[in-house]
Amino acid sequence: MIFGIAVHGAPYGSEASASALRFATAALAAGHTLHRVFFYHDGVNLANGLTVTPRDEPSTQADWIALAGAHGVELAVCIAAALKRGLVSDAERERYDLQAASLHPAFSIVGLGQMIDAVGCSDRFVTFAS
Amino acid sequence: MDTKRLLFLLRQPPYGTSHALEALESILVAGVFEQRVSVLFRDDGVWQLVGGQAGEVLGTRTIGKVVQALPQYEIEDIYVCATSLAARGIALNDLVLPAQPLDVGAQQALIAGQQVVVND
Amino acid sequence: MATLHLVNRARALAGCLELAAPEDAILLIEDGVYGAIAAAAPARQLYALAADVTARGLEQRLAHTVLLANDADFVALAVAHQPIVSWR
Repeated sequence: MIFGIAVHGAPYGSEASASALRFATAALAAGHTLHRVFFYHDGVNLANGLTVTPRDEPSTQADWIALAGAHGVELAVCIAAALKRGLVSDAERERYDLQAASLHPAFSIVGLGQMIDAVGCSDRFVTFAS
Repeated sequence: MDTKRLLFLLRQPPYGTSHALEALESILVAGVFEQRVSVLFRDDGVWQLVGGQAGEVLGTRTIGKVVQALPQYEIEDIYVCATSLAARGIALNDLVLPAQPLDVGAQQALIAGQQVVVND
Repeated sequence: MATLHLVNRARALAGCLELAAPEDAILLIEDGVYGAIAAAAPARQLYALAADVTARGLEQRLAHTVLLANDADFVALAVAHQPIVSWR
C-alpha cells in the first residue's frame, strides 16, 4: 500500500512527529511505501534547522531525516504554515529580507496542494494530530 | 492524483488557536484540486459557523467569512452535528451559511463513505 | 470497510466513542492510552499502542477489554480500515 502521512504536532510540544516516525518505520518494514510526509500546523517546527538536541536525548528530526534519506521519502513542509512560524529557506530569507534562514535543507517547502496530492496519491492517509 | 472522497472533520473552535483557519485554508485548496470534499463541523468546531463574528477586534481574519467562502471554491457538502449545535444553544439560522444538520447515525454513514478524513 | 479511529489524548475518547460505529476499530496512542486503564475504559474493545502503554508504566493497569497493538499491528490496522480518523 501507499501511505500518505500528515504531522500536525510540533516536536517537544507533542508526540506527533515521534509517533508518525514509528508508524512510518513499521510501514516501510512491512513493505509499504510512503508517498509523502506532509508537515502542517505546528508540525512544521520539525523542519527547524537551528535546533540543538542534548546528546543524551533522541532527535526525532535526525531520525526522520535518516529514514527519508534511506527510503527516498519526501519530507514536505507547508510554506504558509512555515513562514508564519519562522521556518525560512534561503530563498525565502532573501525574498523577505530576513536576518537568517532556519529551514533544515532535508525538508522541502511546498504548497498546501502537496497535501491534497498526497491524499490523492495514497491508498491510506494517516494524520498524527497535535 | 486520483479523486478521493475526502472529509474534513472540524472540531476546534476558532480564534484560540490557528487550527481552524489553517484547516479552512487546506479545504479551499482541496476544492481547487477537485477532490470530492465534504466538511463536517462538530463539537466546538460548530462555533466557526456562528454569525456575528468580528475577528478584526483581535486584529485577525473573521473565520465566519472564510467559512462563507467555501461554496465559491465548489465546497458545497457542508454538514454540522445536530447535537453539537443543540448543546451550545445554536440554531440553524444562526449559521453563516447553509449546513445540513446530521444526527450521529448520519455522521457515521458520512464518515464510512469517505476514503480520507483529515482533522483540524 | 470499517473506520479506524486514532485517539491521542484521553479526553478525546468520549467524542470518538459518540461517533464510532460498532464495527469500527479504536486505537489509543500517545496520552490516549490513559483512556485504556481499568478505572476509565469503556465496555467496548479498544486497542492501545504498546510502546505508549509501556513508556507510561500502564501494562498492569489496563482494562481487560484492551488489546495491545505494536507498531506493526498499527500498520496492519491502517491497511485493514478506511478511512482513518484522528481525534485530539
